[in-house]
Amino acid sequence: MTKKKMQPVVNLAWCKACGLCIAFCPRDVFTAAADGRPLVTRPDACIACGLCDYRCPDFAITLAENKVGV
Amino acid sequence: MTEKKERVCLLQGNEACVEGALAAGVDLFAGYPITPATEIAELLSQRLPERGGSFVQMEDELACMAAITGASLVGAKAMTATSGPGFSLMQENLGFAAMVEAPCVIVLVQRGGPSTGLATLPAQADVMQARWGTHGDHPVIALSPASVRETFDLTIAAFNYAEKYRVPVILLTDASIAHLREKTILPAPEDIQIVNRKKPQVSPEEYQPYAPDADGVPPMASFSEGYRYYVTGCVHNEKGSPVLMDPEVASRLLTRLEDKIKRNRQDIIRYDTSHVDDAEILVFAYGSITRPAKEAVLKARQEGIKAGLFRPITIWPFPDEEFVQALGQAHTVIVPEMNSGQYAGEVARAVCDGGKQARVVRLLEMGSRLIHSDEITAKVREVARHGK
Amino acid sequence: MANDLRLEEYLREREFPTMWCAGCGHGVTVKGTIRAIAKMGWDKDDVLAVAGIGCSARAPAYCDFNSIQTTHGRAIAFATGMKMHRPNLHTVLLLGDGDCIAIGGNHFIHGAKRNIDLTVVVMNNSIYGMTGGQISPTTPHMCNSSTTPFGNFEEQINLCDIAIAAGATYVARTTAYHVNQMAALIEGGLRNKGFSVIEVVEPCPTGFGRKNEFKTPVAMYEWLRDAAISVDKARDLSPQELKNKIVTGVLHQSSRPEFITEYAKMSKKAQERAKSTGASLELMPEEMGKFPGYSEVRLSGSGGQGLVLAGIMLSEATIKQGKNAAHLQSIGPEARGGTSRSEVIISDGEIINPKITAPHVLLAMTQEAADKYCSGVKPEGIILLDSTFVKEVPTAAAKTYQYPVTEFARDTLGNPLVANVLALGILARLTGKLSVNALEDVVRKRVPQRVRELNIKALWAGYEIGKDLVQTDA
Repeated sequence: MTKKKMQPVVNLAWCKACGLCIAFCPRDVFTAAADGRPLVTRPDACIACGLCDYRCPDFAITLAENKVGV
Repeated sequence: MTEKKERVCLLQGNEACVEGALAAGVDLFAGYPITPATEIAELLSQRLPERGGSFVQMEDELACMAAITGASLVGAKAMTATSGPGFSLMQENLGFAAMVEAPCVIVLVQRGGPSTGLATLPAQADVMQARWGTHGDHPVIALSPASVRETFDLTIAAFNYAEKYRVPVILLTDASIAHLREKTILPAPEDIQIVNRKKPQVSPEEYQPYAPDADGVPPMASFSEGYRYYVTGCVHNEKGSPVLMDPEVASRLLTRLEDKIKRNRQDIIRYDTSHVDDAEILVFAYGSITRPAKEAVLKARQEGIKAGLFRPITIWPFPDEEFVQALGQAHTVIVPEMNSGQYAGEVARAVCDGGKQARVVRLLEMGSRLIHSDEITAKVREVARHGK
Repeated sequence: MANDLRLEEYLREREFPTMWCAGCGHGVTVKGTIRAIAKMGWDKDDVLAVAGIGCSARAPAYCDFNSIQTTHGRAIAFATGMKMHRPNLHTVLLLGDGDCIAIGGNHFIHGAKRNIDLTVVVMNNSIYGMTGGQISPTTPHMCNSSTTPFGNFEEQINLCDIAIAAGATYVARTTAYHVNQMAALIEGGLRNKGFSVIEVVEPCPTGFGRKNEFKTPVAMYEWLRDAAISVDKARDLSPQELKNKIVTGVLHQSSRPEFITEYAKMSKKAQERAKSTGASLELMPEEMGKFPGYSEVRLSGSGGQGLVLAGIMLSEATIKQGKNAAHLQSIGPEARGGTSRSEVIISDGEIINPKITAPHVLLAMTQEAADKYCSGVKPEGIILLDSTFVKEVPTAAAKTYQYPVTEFARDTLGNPLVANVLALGILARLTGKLSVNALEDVVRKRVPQRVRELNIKALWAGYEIGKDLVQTDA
């Protein structure tokens, strides 16, 4: 059985490494790379609340469907 | 059967302007009260709602110019009317209209200045403000009527040029023409030629809002017609995107804005002459001073003086070629104007650029008194006496 | 529920990445605005996004709507013209704080006063960012900026209070941290048919934060998170307790007639009532030729005596008689009183230069006018003095008649305001050249219904008085 699972995808070309997504994610899905840009290191923890997307000033985060086997 | 009907009436200059605007199809007027232009707003506050058009009295003239430019971008034929102090406030957005190529008409009824000046008396001291009032190089067309009927005709012409070339057009009148009433015969509506802006022939996907046709003028999609694009007062490319650090793009845009007027000058330049063929002395007059000048030339001719009259109707762009041709072998140009010689300077430049030797004599009025034909005649006689 | 709305469809991707600094609140607010618009389900072709100047001004460029960046402070004035001509356009303004309430303050007040159906999203980051961080009207007291090296000693302005006072019908505040509240409040503004203001308090990490001890963009969002207090909770707090707090939520909601709707109603009525303006004049061929050659008429007195109207009616009457006419008026700046001069030139031919040299006919209705103009009348001309006001008759070569015109109008006709038409009647007879029938036609057309018959009575009374004056003279 598969279930729709959303997770953040970062458009690195638009991201300016402000760190908001990392700081305010309620589930600590992101960690900062050396240049400050977010890495999605805990995709399974994502609850698809969308706050990272809404708060991203650079329109650089979207939630995309990721088919994960359960 | 309906008969074509001209209308005979007693019309004031400002009323003729309103009739002209309505004939041209004005959709929206935004105004702010100011002497001696107020009648235009008052009349349109009645006439526009009566025909489903829009009239709005704004909070200041900055807002008037903004409102008409905005309305133009969504497809309206839009107009405002003011005098010197209000025109000063309009400069900011007049430059914007020129930059984004929004067709619109600004009626400037000149009065004595500077500052509050002489609110009820005529002057011609905004000639240069009409050309260079807003900052930066920009295209502009300005027309100057000498009679009530011509105020009607040129208001229509102002709308037509605005639509055809996507520029702000200034109708430059003054308190004396604006408040003069004359017997006026208005043409039948079917005899009036109306021009509307050209629309894009391509799909929204292919549309580039600032890509010009061969005449230098880009077809204009109005907002709300399915062509979504971006309008900005920043230097922009053909797609409308701001391009702030590219001299090529900036130069291409600004040159095109000037060129669309230059290359169509044959269509834009209007002028009038009388007795110029053998003239030795040319009187160069415009606007309300045309009429005393015409009388003075007729009188001089009766006295055997070879005087002629050149009158630009299109004030901007300056009618260089037409003037130089009319100048012919004349040795002197007399420029009577109600300012400190603003336009005479331009006449002198045109004489020089045209490779002519004629002397330019200024007859100036700084006190807002209409220059009397006798003063012009006296100056013509004086020049004739001294010869070259 | 997240991403049901495909926000990327609303972006003009070729303009990205944005020009804004890392952590700038503008991008957050633009996204909140797009979410609200998407929620409304509007076609993008029907949405108009308008901005002014500053960092905020680029906002419409990133949205795939009908987008315009106007001039500094004038966005509301532009939008007013746009909305009037195309009321169907859902119009959203994205303004900076300086843009909205400093340079654009007057337009903001008048937009609210009109309650015109615009939604104004104020991206308030308390600073002029693009020019490098100067104070704006919303900069808090004693904060630092590049034009307040000793701290900002001015108090900040509350733009929501101003919007409410000026008549806005929906006023709300939120912050760039509270993204879901933001989208909901903007949606509320979009739903309101009237002038809506949503103030979004935002960080400017570069222009404001660095000068005011916010080391990172995150620190600024933490400040917004912690300073915000809901309008419900704020109600119970004292001004002292609310100091440095940001009150969020719907601050004001009311119902008031909306400008475009009211205009449409008025216009509909006007269209129903509209009739021909009656500007044209029917010529009276049988009267032609009565006024030969060329004549100049000067009507003089003071403002309020109806001389301009008298001049207009005289001109129209002569045009009806097939003549050419021009009318010149000279009035001082006063609405009433002051000197007034109304002059008519009547000619068989073209009037090359409309000017008065020496009038053939003079009416003087004040002593001052009589003193000034009597001597200039042509020797073969005619002068009529209103002896109600002209007590000393100046010497003049022209034939001079006196009659208490205003007194007769006031005492016998019952209204001093018809003195102008009475005088026209007298002049018609004295000159013997003017058709009183043509004048009657014109008076009928020009004078309001309620005083029409009285004016016509005055005209004919004047004509009779003129007869007597001529007979007495003979």
